Amino acid sequence: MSSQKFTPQFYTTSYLPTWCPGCGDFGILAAIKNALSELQISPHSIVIVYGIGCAGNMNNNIKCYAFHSLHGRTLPVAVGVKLANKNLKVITVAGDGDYYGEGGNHFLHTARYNADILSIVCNNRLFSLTTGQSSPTSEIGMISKTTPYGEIKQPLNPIALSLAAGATFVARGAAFEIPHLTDLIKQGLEHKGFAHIDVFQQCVTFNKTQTVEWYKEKIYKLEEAGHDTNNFKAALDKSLETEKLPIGVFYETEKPSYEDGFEQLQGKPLVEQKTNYAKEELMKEFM
Amino acid sequence: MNNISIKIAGPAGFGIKVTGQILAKVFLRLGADVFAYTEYPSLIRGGHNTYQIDISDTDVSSPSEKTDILIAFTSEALSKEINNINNEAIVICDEKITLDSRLRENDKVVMAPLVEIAKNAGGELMKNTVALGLLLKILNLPLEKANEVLADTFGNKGEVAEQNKKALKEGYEWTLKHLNTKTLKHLNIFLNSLKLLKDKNNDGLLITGNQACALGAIAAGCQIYSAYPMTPATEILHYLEAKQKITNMIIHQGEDEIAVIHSALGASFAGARTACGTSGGGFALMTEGLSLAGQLELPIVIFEVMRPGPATGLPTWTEQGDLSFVLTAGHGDFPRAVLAPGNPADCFKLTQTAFNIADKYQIPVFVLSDKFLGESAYSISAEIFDKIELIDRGRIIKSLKQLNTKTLKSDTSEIFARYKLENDGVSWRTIPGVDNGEHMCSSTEHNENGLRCGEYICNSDEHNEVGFSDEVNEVRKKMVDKRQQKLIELQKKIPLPKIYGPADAEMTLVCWGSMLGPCLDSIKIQEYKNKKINVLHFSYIYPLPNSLDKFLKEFKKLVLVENNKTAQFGKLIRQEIGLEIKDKILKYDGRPIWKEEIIREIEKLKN
Ligand SMILES: Cc1ncc(C[n+]2csc(CCOP(=O)(O)OP(=O)(O)O)c2C)c(N)n1
Ligand code: SF4
Repeated sequence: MSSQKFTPQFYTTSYLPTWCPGCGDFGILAAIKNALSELQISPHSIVIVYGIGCAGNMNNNIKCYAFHSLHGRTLPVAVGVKLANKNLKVITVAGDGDYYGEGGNHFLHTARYNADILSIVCNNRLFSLTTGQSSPTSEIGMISKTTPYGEIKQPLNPIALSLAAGATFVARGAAFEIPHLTDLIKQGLEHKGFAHIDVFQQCVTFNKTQTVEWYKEKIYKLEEAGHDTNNFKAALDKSLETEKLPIGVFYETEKPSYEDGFEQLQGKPLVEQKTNYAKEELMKEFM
Repeated sequence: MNNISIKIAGPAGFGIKVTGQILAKVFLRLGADVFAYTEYPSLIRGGHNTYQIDISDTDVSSPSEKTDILIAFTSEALSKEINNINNEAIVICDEKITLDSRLRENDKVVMAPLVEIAKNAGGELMKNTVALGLLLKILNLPLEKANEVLADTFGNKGEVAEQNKKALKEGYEWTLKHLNTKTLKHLNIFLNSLKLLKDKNNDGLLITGNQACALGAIAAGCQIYSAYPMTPATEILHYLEAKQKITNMIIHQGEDEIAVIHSALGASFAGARTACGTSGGGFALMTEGLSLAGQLELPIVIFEVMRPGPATGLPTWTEQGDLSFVLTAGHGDFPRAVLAPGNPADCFKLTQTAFNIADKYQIPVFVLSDKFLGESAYSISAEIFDKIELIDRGRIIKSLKQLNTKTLKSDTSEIFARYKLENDGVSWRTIPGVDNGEHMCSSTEHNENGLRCGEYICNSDEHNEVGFSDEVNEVRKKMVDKRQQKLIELQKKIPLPKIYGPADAEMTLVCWGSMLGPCLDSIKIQEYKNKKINVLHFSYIYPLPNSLDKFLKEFKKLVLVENNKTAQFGKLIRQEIGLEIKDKILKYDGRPIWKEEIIREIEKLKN
């Protein structure tokens, strides 16, 4: 490791994280830097698009090209970046409220496009930056500032949704299982196409139900359970489990990515090309 | 100005538009100035569709209120248009349709077996081509030009091409056999005016505002166009999609307009020249992205092709009703520019200017047009499209070498400061992939170099970034001032509005964007009466030029002409320079202002 140019510390900026001590986002940050380091990806070829929330506040903490976008909008920004420069590694980091709620439509469609993007969702099952309100992944009965009598809406199932929408790499990690999460992120980065990693993230301040202990009792690793990651139906079955909660890769498959579908992008990235104003040819139809 | 107006009317699905376009091109190739205007409801079959062509020996840039020749394919089409025809009009229709009792004695009605002839030629659908042939003979125009255009439209070979050719010829011959064209009163005037055309050279093109905007984007080197279909902006999307293999552009149809503008911003951040386009309803969804562009200081061009709102409004009609919205859309204070072309030549030119302004000042820039300009076809000289503005990408650093040669290093001691406080408010920006310029493009407030405690070494492969989140009061204030400074700088460069017509006018029509055409055509009618009226046209809407207040004081009487209810441009002028233009001609029924209406309103104002 010491011979490596890009150590995890290399990706660390001088700006200290602003999370509560014990927040799961620390673990996710560490896993991202580990994965980038292990793959030796140089910071200038990485774009991370961040959402708005505690998770999105990671924007100050990783040395690379960062785009702190709006609440819910990481994915369309990432799609634009990727279309402009297909050579970049494009990652999104956002919370569950941001990604599944405000940005839910983008999630479905970017998965469908199979744009070559890795999405990491810091899923603490709450809106935390806004001091603890119910989110699309809050369980029925969850007490929060907007559900003082308990949540009455069903939570959505990120993994099942992702599979149904057409994501070509679908995984779940846990913020407190850093080596495991690092490995998932590495796989996601190496995957060509839309990779989605939902991450169980403890919010020590507002979520007193889904704590690290609570998760540790429930989780098990798919790779240890003999799960076939190429089997879509098996992946769907696994995504529906609620008693025990599987982490690991649910599903992966190869499909052409969105950018690869464009003939214009077969060679150089778009930013290195020129638009062709072929006047004579373009004028013909107007004569 | 010698002018003939021809209208083709019938239900959707009758090929009204194709027929109209063919006829318009026949006139274009004969050297005429042509203006083509369409009306259609938001449906696919049925309804009432019209394609109106105004032909003139001088510039024509708006439709006449009433037409001289009407081709009506159904009884309904005829009765809907009966009030829109001039006295002594020629009305061409199928022999089987029921005539309207409101037709006047001196209207010349030509009842021809259009359907029957079409069937003989190969199918009822071609009744419009039959009518075309019939009309050409009435106007004594040669068949060859029409055959050329037909071949360009349907190809040279194949069944469809052959059948249309036949239909055209048989229509033509029907007139020859059955019509004594000498009995058609007024025809001589038409013919005389057409004779004048012969002297004109015909390098003319027939092009819509939307197409000219799209061409402007291509000429400006736009690399990504991101959009979601919405009438009347869709034609830009269609056109660019169709041409992508020639232009090498990437056209992205996003899942909604929110996505569309954010993808455009992502691409802009990554260094591509980028635009997105929509109409008012779609732009409503884009507003948070607009605000984001303001905060991130990312260049982006937004085409907003207006239609009447609120809500879904009148999807296929026209209005200049979104100006106030575009001027104030997006939360927070940040600079923007709004350009509103007056015709396709302007669309082509200003679109290129818009891209340069966006890049130079790192701000969002609007090209604001509407259904009337966007979907009407104007004849313009092909030379217009040779005028390419030099592409200015502004302060963008695309390579490490470039970064090292910039003064950044000495100023900021080895730190690349994306949001560096330059005097003119514009900072250098790098693009991802450049290995010494990592920075954060942050939508939360950021400080100038963000790296007070940073350890970024400019010359190495590894670097620090700028744009750290910062809430310190002085930083906030400086950043707001920096961004606003760009507007002040831009304003210095904004030209004064253009004057058309006599310099010593007694009355000046003040208009913006698409209303240039009707205003210009109206003062041409007036010319004959020697009225001293001119037109002052604004295509730079925001910021307005610096010395506008002084400039406007020189005019004797200003009359505001706008295609909306609340005189939105008038309000802007009042807001910016404290001048209220009291006399107004406003129209908001979904139709453009007709030149004849302007004259009538002027007459009222005089009384
Ligand atoms: C358009 C918009 N709506 C609302 C907000 C306020 N807001 C900021 S963060 C947030 C929720 C964050 O929750 P989540 O995305 O789950 O991230 P977390 O803070 O839990 O990491 C909300 C509602 C906003 N910034 N923008
Ligand atoms: S509130 Fe929760 S999610 Fe936010 S920083 Fe604290 S622990 Fe983390």
